[in-house]
Amino acid sequence: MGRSTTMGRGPYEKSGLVSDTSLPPGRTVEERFEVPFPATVAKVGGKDETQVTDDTLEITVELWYLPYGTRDTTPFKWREAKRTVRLVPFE
Amino acid sequence: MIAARLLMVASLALGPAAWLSTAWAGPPPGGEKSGTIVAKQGQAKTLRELIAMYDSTSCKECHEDIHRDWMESPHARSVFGTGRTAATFQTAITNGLMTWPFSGVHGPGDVKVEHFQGCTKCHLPQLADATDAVAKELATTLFAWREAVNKGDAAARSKHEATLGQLGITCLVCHNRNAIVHKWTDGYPQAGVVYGSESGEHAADDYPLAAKSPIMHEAIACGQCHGLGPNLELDNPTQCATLYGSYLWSYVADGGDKTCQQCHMSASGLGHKILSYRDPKMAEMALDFEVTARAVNWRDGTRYAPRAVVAVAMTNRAGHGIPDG
Repeated sequence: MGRSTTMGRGPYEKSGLVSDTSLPPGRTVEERFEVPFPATVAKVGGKDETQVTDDTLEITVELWYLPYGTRDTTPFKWREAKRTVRLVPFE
Repeated sequence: MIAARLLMVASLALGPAAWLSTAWAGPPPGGEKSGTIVAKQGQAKTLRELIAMYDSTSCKECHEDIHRDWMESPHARSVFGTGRTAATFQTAITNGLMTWPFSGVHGPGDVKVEHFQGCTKCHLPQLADATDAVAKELATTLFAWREAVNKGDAAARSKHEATLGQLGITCLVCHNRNAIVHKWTDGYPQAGVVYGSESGEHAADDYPLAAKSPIMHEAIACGQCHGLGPNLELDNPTQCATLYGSYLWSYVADGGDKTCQQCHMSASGLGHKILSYRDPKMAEMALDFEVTARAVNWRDGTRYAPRAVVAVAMTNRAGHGIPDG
């Protein structure tokens, strides 16, 4: 009903907003993600050493609108961006 | 002497008339409440009567392009939608009305016009011009459609979808019934008049007059349905669209000056399709989406844990929150 801490998806399940994930007009909303490079850890000289197995990541960022909260019912992919990130090992 | 006196009288008579002409530019576009479509025809008693009351199929005889655009719009099938809207109507009854102890609704046969207002206030505003028998017929049709879908009964499904598909925001809903918001100021929309951007004769037997709507180009025309938020006027408030509230209190408050029509009809070139995110151009216009990614040699204590840092910036360029409706 949009009372206390409870709100549902359906119009009949709310008469207010307890939480809102929409994008407000005229403003910039930022999200930040961290993606680890694939790596294994091996013992070298008795110490753990991270060994990167692939120094290139192909990253795809998708923005979805999910009217029913899942991709099962009328999902809409609003945007997609692809980025390639190459790791330059530190000296 | 007599002539002089007459001139003075004429001057006095012209005084108030001249004042009136500056305060009031012309006749109001509307008229008495007794002149509305529902007042003239009486409340619809069946779905068929309600469909006929606001039927706009004859509009395409002269406005073919506009009518074709409207047919592609969600307005043309605001009750059935893609099926999702009809399903939500039905679950609003089963998961809402039928579970609330004081609604008086135990099944679709108990549904009255007032029970539907949380949905039909916007999805079928003309239901307010119908009897409770029509609300009951609509509810039973929605249930029968859902049952046909579940049973895989293609014939019954097609029949009910045809009925539900005729219920929509027709030309006459926007260009007559909802074309005047301030009815005590501008009068009630009159039967036989099409409200738009011009006044004069209108070449249609049932609608021989055109009148200029005071709000057709204003955001408030759309705001009647594309909502302020909770419908607190209802006995059991609901909330669907909050778009017009967002437009007023965020977009306009921050200096925005575009109307709904300028983006959804003019700048997008959509005309009476009036689409939103499902149209590629609208989706593009609405949002800036910037992604940057870089590699970082992260050392977590003695452990080496390199990662990519991805920053996403989303700027909503629409005049309202997205998504909304």
